[in-house]
Amino acid sequence: MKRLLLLLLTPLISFAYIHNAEREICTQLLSAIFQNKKVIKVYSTCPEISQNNTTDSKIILVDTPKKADLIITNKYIDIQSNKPIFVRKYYLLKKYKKRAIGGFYWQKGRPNIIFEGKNLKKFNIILPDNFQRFIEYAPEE
Amino acid sequence: MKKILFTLFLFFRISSLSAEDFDINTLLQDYKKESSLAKQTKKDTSGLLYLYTREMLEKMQARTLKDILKTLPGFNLYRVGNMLTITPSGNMPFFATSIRIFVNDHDMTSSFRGSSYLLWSDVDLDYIDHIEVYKGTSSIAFGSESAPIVIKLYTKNANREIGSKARLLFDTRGSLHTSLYNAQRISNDFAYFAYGHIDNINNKKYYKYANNQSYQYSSDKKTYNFYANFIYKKTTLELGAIKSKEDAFVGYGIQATPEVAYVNKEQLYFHLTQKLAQDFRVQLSLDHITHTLNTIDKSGVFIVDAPPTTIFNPKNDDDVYSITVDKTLKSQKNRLTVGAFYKYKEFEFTKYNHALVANALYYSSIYAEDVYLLTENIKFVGSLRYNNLQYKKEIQKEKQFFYKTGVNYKDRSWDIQLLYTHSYLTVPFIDYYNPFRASNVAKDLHTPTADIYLTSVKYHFINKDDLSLSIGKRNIKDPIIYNPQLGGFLNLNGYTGRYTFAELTYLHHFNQKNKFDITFYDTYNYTEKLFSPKWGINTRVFNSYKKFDIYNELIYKSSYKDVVTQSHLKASYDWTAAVKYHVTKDFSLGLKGENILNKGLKQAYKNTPSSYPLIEQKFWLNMEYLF
Repeated sequence: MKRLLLLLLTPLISFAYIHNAEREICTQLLSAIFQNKKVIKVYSTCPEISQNNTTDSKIILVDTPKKADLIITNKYIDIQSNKPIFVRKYYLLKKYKKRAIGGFYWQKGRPNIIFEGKNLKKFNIILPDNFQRFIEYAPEE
Repeated sequence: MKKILFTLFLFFRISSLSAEDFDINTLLQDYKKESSLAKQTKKDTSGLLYLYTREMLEKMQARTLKDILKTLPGFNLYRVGNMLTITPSGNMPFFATSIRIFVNDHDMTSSFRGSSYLLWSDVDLDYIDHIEVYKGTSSIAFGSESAPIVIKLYTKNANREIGSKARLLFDTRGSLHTSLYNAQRISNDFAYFAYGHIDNINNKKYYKYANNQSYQYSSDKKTYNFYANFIYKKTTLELGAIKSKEDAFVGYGIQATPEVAYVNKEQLYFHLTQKLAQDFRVQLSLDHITHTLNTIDKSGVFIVDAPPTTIFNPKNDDDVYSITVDKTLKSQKNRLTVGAFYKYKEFEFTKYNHALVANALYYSSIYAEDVYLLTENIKFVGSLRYNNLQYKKEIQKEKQFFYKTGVNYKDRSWDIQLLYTHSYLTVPFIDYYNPFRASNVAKDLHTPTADIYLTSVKYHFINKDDLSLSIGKRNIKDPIIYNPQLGGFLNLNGYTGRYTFAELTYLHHFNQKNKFDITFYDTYNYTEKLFSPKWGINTRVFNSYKKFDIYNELIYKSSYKDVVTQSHLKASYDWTAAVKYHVTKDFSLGLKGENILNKGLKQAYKNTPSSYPLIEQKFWLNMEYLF
């Protein structure tokens, strides 16, 4: 009976997950950026990233950029910290071009993921193999 | 052994989830689907909803609104004069004010004509994200004037479109359809979306030979369309301009022998939406609309109270100014929307004999709608609207009181909706100031009332398939008809026009990207008279395979004897197919065939040698590039 219940529940688990794809993407991105960290401290301005809705217990939200390993932002703010930034809007890649390691945003009518190769190197971040295809190098100015 | 098999099964089940479902590309596709704008805008309790998501429109390679209208179950495309519209299956064409077309929250209706068919029934869709068509609604939820049929076109969202897109289509008759848009976010507070479109559409020409002369029936058209929205903090400004020249096909002459037949149409509009506090909005809008008909037919255009005229070139100039305020109050059990609008609508109409008529309408309305959650599964909806219509001259003022009540039951398997609406079909100025009369205003006309009953039952199977049955009835009291012998537009006082429809739909999902639906519908208008096919079957198949998107649609409509011309029209089969190949993520090539079998729906006209297709047999080459 338990087995039957487990069998029945398996599609339900996947169903529940499907309705939280954005959250799951954010969790996977953080895990990819900090592969070896046991605890990832995040400062976020995005309502979709909060302590209540992260699926990964190793992600901890902090209240100031200085305490964070990564800053996730969906708007341009004056950040008094030299921590890497991950953006949720395309135009912010240019605004934070020296510190933005990547972004997950809408562009051309679809959601996109991108990592800035130069800034990844600058912060000594190495992505796992399945994320390598998202790395781009901005042209020299 | 059983344990091993079970463990293996569980392993493959879970590993298949990990390998496939948790892949980042799959996640991105899921995210795109679950954050569809259609999910944010659709109003489940507002009537029977036909939803065309962006994904569907893209697979269909939809070019204009006509591509959507022809797939609506229970409706037929119908040409009235030079206007392409939809008509309820079997029944006489809709009363002009029965259908309203909106672009976002902007009502496109002409104040003189009471409809927006003339410009908007064939509008290009490259700037449209998704389309909602509501049947049996009183449109209170949409905050504007009431109509039983509401077509909502939602534009693409600047925040999501960042970048540009160009689209170019050619067809086998040398038509061109091209569009370009650009969207940018400039700062935290400012974003814009700007769109331009040009088309030059050639259709098959038909001929009538009479009086040793050949007369051409053409429906060619040229359109220029511009739309832009600017979003600054909580303010959205929308600007639109559309200009079109379209041939008027058989024209308006008694013998359908046009020498000149075309119409120039233009609409400029502005719409400002200001969110002042949470769920409190103020909207200001204005429209300027011009229609000029140019026809010459030596057989003459029939004029009710004067001899026929060979030159028939009426022109209307409309202006509409409106202000709307609404607020939504939410509690655990209730969602109450209250609102009001004030509209000033004026027109100048130059008749064929150069007589100038003008009038204006001061239109005010207050409305409220409450959705009450009785339990987690049951919700009640109730709406009230009070309209006050005051005319500048000649026409008596009018008060209208609308109400709607409904109940909705929804759980994992069932979605049941019962709705009753009492509404009015406001008389448009064109009925008072009949273009086919030399003089006089039809002061005696009064507004028909409409009572609409709607039942819809949908069953969701565990594999995500849907089976739904919808039945509706509409009673129109004192309907307005057009009878030239009796002087033009008049109310059939004491008569109730009744109409019933039923639709049965089965939707099957092969998987997330492949689905198929079939709808059977039938209608009954309580008379022996048919104006268009009364029943039909619509089938659509949406497929994706690797880099290909494939769409097939087959629309069957029954044979009928047209009461206007007494012609027997055969059953029609309209097959549309579209294949799109995504060369890269940003570039695609497509092929589309419309009315491929050339057996699509036809319409008969008086004194013409034949009946003519409403959708031409055509093949399009489609190129889309994102940059």
